[in-house]
Amino acid sequence: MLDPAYILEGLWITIQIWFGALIVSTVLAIPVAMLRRTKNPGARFLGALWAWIARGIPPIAWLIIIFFGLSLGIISAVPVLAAIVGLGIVNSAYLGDSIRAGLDSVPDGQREGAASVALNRWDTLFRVVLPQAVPVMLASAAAYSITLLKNTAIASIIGANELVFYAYNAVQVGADPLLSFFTIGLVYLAFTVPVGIIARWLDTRVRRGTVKVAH
Amino acid sequence: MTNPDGAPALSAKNICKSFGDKKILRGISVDVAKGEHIAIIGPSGSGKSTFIRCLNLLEMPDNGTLRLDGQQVLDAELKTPTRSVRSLRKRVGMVFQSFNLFSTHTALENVSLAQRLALGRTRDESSTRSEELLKRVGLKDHMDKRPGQLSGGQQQRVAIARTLAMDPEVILFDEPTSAIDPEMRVEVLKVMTELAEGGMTMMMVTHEIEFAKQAADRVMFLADGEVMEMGPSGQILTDPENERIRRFVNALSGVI
Repeated sequence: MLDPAYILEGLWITIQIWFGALIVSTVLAIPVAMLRRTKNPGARFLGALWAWIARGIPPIAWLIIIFFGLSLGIISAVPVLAAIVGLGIVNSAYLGDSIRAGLDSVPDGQREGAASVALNRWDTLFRVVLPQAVPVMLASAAAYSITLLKNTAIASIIGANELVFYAYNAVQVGADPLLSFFTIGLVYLAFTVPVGIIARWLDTRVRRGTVKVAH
Repeated sequence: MTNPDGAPALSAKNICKSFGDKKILRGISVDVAKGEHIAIIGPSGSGKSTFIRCLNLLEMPDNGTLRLDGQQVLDAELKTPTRSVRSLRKRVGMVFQSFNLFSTHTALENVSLAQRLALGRTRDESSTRSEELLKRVGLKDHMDKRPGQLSGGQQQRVAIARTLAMDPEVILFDEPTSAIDPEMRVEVLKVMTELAEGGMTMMMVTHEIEFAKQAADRVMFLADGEVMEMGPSGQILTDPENERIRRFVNALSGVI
């Protein structure tokens, strides 16, 4: 039988990896999105290259490369940190797309309107563009964050003691495999379903135009 | 060079602009006197919009000079720094065809935002001014609505109020009624007529011939990126000598 205390402990680690990777990916995705939106072809290529590499290698391979292959000091020594960095890199490619799509969704006229009344770039971004772009970004970012949460299960491979790790170990010492994994499946659902609902709600709001109004 | 009293409100000399290989403006010059109203007409593709957008540097001209009240604000070969572009835009207002109101802000906030951020007015000052301006354009009851809840004509009047709030020396209008349903155009033209009567210096790209006859002092006819003719609106719009202009004006007026 899978001990509820272990489930809680595993869940706590799962959430650490999830949130940690979300933060790492956000930090990485902002410059990636900016690179991909510049006019400079070299900078655009760098951004695209990052996205290809980050997303073109399977997440499990990223984790193994970082944990066993590279020497990144403490990151390569602590499984949870390696998982946060590896999954953060993978998610940064998707999140970069979300940020870029959000910024692209704001019509040029909004920036021109801001320019015509002498707003500076900073105010234009924070007062005019982002209020419209963020809901668009969040709708797809929330959907990607579900994939990210499910990918945290891979961290068990490098020994991070998250949910799958405990379920697997419980099975090794005699717990029922079906019941153990069904149980943690429900724990994942408790997070993925609400986030999915939020993502869809944001998405319909954006599509209906209550957030982003044409012209 | 500064000669505030005698100088034109806006003076453009030899404005040139190409997009890629395509020459859009082939050297356009105009002096707009203080309080003068100039209508810019011409077929599509003639460069009207590009020209008016060059006047507040939404498009950066490839060549030419721009003076505002006698002060040089652009020598295109030198490429003025951003700070100066912003100071120019504080003085030259712009009203767009598609309004370009900030869609997540209410009408009141649309008019107030730049007063606070660009002109440094306090929240109270800017709100008071915005309310006064929105009342003046007939939108007293719509101040808390967002652009999506307003008709085209109402949005354009908010946009005019937003521009007026900056206390510009000149206002540029880029086909302000083209994206508006015909029955809603009247209210926008009425506001523009009032502005003109109040002595505002205005440059207007428009297809509204009747309005231009009334409100414009001079008409600039653009074709293929050049000024084909420039003269008093009465003459050009009622009895054009040039055959091409005659056909254009007749077509817009519905005369066959």
